[in-house]
Amino acid sequence: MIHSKRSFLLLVLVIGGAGLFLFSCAKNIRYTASTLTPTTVTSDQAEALALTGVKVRFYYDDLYNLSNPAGLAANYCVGGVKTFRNPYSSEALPSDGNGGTIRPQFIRDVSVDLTDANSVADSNTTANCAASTAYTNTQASKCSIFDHQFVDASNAPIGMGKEYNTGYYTVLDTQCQGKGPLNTSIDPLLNRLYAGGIYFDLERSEFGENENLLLDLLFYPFGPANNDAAGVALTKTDEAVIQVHLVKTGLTYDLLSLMIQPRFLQYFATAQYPTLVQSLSIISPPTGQMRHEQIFIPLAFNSSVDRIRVERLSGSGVFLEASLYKTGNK
Amino acid sequence: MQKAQWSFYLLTVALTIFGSSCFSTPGSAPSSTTSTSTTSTVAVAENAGEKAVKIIFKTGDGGSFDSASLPATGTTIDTVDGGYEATAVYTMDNVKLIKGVSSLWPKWLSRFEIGISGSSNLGADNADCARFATNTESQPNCVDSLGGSFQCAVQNFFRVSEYDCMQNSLVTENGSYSDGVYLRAVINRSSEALGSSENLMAVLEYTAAGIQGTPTDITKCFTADGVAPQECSDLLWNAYLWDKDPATKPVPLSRFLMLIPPITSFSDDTSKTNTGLRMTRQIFIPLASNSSIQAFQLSRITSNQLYTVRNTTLLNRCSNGGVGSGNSPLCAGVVFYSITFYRI
Repeated sequence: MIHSKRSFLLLVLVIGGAGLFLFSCAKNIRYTASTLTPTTVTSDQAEALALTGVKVRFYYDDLYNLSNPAGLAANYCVGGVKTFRNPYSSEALPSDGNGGTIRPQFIRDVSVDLTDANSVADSNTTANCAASTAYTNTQASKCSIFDHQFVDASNAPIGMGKEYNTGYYTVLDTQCQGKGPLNTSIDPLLNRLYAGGIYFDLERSEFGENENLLLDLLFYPFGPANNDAAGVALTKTDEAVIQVHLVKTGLTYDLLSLMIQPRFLQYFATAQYPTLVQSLSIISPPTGQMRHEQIFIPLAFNSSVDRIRVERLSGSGVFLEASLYKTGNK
Repeated sequence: MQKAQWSFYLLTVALTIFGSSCFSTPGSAPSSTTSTSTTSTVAVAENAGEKAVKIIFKTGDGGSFDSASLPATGTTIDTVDGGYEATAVYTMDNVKLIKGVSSLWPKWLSRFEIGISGSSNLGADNADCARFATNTESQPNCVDSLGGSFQCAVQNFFRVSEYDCMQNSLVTENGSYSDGVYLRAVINRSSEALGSSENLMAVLEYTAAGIQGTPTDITKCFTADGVAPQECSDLLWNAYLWDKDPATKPVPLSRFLMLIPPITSFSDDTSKTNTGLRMTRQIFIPLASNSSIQAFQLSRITSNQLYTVRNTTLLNRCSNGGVGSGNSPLCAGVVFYSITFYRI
């Protein structure tokens, strides 16, 4: 029986201390692989989890791709970033024990749209995580792809093949004809829009109430001064126009990673995932040269924003790298 | 009474167990990596001097650099504080603050220096590569392929003339102390100077001129090692963040931001389009994301695409007075006008 205040306080201290020793909040590692448990987190992993900045490289090998998808055999999915990097050294973060690396806690997921996940190839294992091929406008295309030739063990091709063969995430306007979310329109100027881009999904609980985010984007917007992969000059319609929106999804990592490709078919203009800020930034011509843009993301204005959508409105180009930095909580 | 007491005890114990192990303040995740500096414990520093100051890349009146003590043979690399220091900054009201004299000098800006070329500068040994422009080269003496003339530089402003930079050799820098041509801001991260949640924004005003236009073959920008903008651009300038004490002469492992490309002014074979287009670039420096960041550096990395045409197009196009004398940053190179730092 606890009769005195002093005995009670002592009991509280003991139990509290035991709590500290035995438990650590599951929140700290909930984005990592299921193989990680509180007792198996190394100091390197803990440090990576606590990072307030991250870099991703949109090179096919750093993301789950057609020859290296994620998930279980019955439902392989592609497009998510597999390797997260330290933004200052560019070094890969420690392994998560599940084929990828640790994601810093403020990152829920980073992924890209892919329009060849449902390519018709016997060795393609990702078709179950992609749009149906029953319709012309959802059949595989080179609209937004990793510009790389994927082959299986027997050297049979998977996916739609390469163009410039840089290996980086590439969007090609002429290949987006009829493939965008407005694909029911017969107007070719409309049905190629809004196809392709990147999703940065954030864990808002890891941000302070007054904290914002800086997004650095290294990309190559094409224009008429550049040539296509065959050496023919590109046209005015290839002039890249990129838009940045802020969206609310509320989706967990598990749901995000299972979204079928191309993901713009699920996310575009739907009340389920409202766009809270339309065109926060429009990155438009001049084009033709590589660019490294900084975009300040004003998260503090609305705690519901949990996605930065970098969307190809029109045109062609290559996405190379992105870095995200938390800007501190005042 | 006793029942109520027990309920209270149990509730308190339960809260203690879960509260002690799950308590964390949003946004309080520690900064990354290699922190060697003292982490500020205040969000915003008070009494740290002006919150926004401009450095004007000019000698003499209205400039931030003293003309009387210019190093005759250039600055030295691999030397702490070896660059040429800015001794004055300007407030947004255009009030001049002198370092070591003005009480409002921003405590958070420990030092701003530039690399000036010359025989003492082993990273840029041509005296006309990176320096302040003279009156002579600011005249319309540059000659294009059509015989037209244009202004080669802007008098008294700090400029980098690629024609001259590559006369002796082609260099490739890496954002470190050994870079010959650079701008460097050393940042004071002590709590009296900057709060833990504070960042800096730099607004750079400059021109970037080239001669070969946008690349038609974009695959040149990619090599087996990855993205290689130097292979498809006349100029490459990068920004770096140092996350170690500058006195240790750190070598950054990767660039923070690519400043150039893009290039905004080009000349070509059929027309002279170089008009010295001045532009600004906002650069957000995320100090709050990493308490170890102690310096910001902009470096001229390389210009190997111009090097390949140094004896042909570059010689013919960017020739001051048509005699192959260079001093032509508005033809191929960079002119810096100002950089303004804001605490945000």
